[in-house]
Amino acid sequence: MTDATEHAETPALSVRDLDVVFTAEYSGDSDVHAVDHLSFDAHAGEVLAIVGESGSGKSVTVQALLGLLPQYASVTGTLSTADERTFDLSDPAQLRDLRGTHVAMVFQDPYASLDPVFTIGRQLAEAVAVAEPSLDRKRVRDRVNELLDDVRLGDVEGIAGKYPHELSGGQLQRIMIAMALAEHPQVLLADEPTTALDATVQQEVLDLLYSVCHDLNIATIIITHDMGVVADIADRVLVMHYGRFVEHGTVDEVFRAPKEEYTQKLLAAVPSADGTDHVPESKSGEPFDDVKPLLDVNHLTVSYRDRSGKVKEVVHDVGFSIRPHEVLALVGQSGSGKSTIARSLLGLNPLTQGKVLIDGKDIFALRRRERRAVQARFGIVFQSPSESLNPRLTIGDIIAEPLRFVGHMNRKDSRNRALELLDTVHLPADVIDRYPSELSGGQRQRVAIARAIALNPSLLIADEPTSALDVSVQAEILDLLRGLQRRIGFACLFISHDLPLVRSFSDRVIVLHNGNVVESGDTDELFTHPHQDYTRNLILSAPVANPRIQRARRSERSNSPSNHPIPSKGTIK
Amino acid sequence: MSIENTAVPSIATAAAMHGAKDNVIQTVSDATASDTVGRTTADHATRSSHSLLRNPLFAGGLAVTLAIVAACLAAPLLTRYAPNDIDLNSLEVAPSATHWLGTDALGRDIFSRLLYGGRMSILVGLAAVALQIVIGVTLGTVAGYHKGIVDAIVMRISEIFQCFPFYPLAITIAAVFGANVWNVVLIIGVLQWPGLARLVRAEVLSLREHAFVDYSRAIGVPTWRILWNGLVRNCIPVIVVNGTLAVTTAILSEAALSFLGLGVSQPDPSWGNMLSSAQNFRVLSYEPWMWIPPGVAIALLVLAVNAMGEALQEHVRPRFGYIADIAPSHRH
Repeated sequence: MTDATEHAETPALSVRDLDVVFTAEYSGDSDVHAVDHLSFDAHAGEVLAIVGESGSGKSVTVQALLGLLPQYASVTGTLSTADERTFDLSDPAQLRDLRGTHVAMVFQDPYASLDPVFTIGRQLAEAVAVAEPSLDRKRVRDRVNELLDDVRLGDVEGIAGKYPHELSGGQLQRIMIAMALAEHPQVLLADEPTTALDATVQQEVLDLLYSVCHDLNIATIIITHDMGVVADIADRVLVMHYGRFVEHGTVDEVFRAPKEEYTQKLLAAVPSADGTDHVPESKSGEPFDDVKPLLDVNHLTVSYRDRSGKVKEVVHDVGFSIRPHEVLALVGQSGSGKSTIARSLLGLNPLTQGKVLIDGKDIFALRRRERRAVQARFGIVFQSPSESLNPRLTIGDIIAEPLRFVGHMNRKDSRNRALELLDTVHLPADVIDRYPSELSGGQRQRVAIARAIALNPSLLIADEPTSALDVSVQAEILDLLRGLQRRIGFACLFISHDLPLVRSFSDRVIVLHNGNVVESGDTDELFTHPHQDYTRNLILSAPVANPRIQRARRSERSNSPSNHPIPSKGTIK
Repeated sequence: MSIENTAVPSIATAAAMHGAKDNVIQTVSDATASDTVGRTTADHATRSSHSLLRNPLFAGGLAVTLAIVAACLAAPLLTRYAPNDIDLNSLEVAPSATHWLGTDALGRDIFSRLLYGGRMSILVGLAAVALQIVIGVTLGTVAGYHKGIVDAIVMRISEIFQCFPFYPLAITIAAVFGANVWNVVLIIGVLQWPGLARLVRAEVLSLREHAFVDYSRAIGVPTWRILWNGLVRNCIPVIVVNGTLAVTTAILSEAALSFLGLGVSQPDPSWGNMLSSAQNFRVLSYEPWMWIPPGVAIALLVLAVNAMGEALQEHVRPRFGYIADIAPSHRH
């Protein structure tokens, strides 16, 4: 086996023969080999990215290194540090010395990792006091300020006195990094540190991790599924698949000439934002201008009254129309109001103002029965297939739900139609009697799509249909949607924060920010010549799976440090 | 509802809720399979039933419950005397080979009355809980789904029911409407539903935010369908666990009311009215065979059912799994 170990100097962290098995007692009928004899090194001042899809064992690897796995996991292997101490990974008690002093961790979700009832300053001070018990109060305070400077939060007014809920997701993730740094670690482990963040905020956090690694000479191991993130900050890449080592190399080697088939597949699945893989034929590509719109949204405004009675407007005077067979994308960061618009169209939350016309009829002015008939023309695909399928119903019953209770089909016909639909979405017929929990994420999303097209919709509303899925599955689902769209010819309202995806799928794009339309236009036109700064920054902040482009962007950013003008609210998705 | 087709307390009720699955184990595993919505794996269901049966608390409780229920159902085969046969030649005789547990003040065989009385106690326990489930689940689901004014009304009503102490109210009602089995069932069912209703409501409040409920609402699925498929069926773990625990309360309430002469009335035996012989000081002091058997029977059954309930509760509590995150295709 080629291991990820060749390098000149002594590594800051060296893992040999790490093996993790979840024993049969817990996992059911058989042992699960989560990590299979993995060896790798992490060097000071270098970012090592461990990449893989869900189930690849990448997170389990990190947890094994910290001794955080539960009892029923049997772990073997060794870990050695730069000062030549060696630890036996099968003994979590030994690893306690390692945690904090030598290895520090940054988790995925900063909200879950910080205590909501204490101020940021106090929580940082606690971390400092644990790391360096000899410091007196004043020196602890100095160290806290130093750490805040290190993560570039030093000039945020009064930040030490604030509570976690008063800060943005990006700021919180920086606080988490500061806490990790409090202990002067030689190795920093980051498990999907930006997955919960918006693209623009993600970039800030990645930049910070990059500079922490290189300026403070800390070996950084980042776990991610996102090839864009890898291209952006990694020096070296280790690819894992089902617990096994697949490939290791410098970021340029792996991206330019991936040796293994799996790596090639992984890279091929990423839609590229520079449009190089963009095939115009994949879209419906007809001229739309003289066609009457299918859906017409006018002056849509949605506002909530919050607890204090203040009115908060989340969507402000948005108007757009979708013509038959057209794919329109709503793009924006979290909090931009894109999902709220979809929910309003579906009647799931009330509009404050505005009109939604279908074929010229105002749906919310219709009587209940007529409105039902209109609603039946919508197909819906939600983000998370595990949330949107009722866990208590069989796949057959799930697909039959719209057929029976909206389309008024009888049980037998609806079952036959469900079988047909399963075939349409390329699922075997025998899943019809299984439960959603028995299917993989991609299979579940196929079921959701089968259900969405059951009544031959004229409009499909897809709210982030692929963002809960693995990269290679994302590509499959998108291909399926594209094929169905061409065959059935429904119009589609495609909601996404993922710009490369939008570029490859939609005909027109509307960019939203804080509930307002920033810009709209033809997809190619908008991506190549964005008129607004906001759109331009949004396009640039999505990391591209190409190390060369990412390096060029990074140096551009560092040359003009003030060039971060995105007025980001930085909320967690 | 006859005793014969309600084999094991709560599980039978769960099966009825779920659509007539008669295999006990299968129903339990079904009920617990999706304790955390959408976060379970294929093997979870099978693993559930295995590990549940391996749990000594559950296995022991189930064994004792089944033994008691089987003995009560098989009463005609196991006893030599009819429960209400009066034998004036052997009044208040101590346990012997002819009367295994002795006779009572009217010369009736205690062993025979114990088994037939068990039928009554178990019937009351199950029927009262079934009534509680019907009322509690219906009101809890509707309140949780509609929120707002409906919720407020249902919750205030449930609070009114909860703010009266159970026994004084139950005794008053029994005294007014007369002592018989069905009145006892009604009293327990109607007075005890608020607990279950509140639990179901809390569960529904969180379930209704799931995307699958949104989906059904958005495409215009009728509300009753959403309530049943989307909400009630996902509440089954809560209903099974709390229904099981409620059976014990109902059995104890029946015993208490019958003891006071306000429940199952003589000559029909029930464990509670058998105990009422102990109201007599002489019986209490010198003739323990009259009250120890029903007392022990009640204690055993209640402990056993409770043990099952506790084990079920432990079992459906969501836990953090690493296994669930690993795709099933690479098991070896």
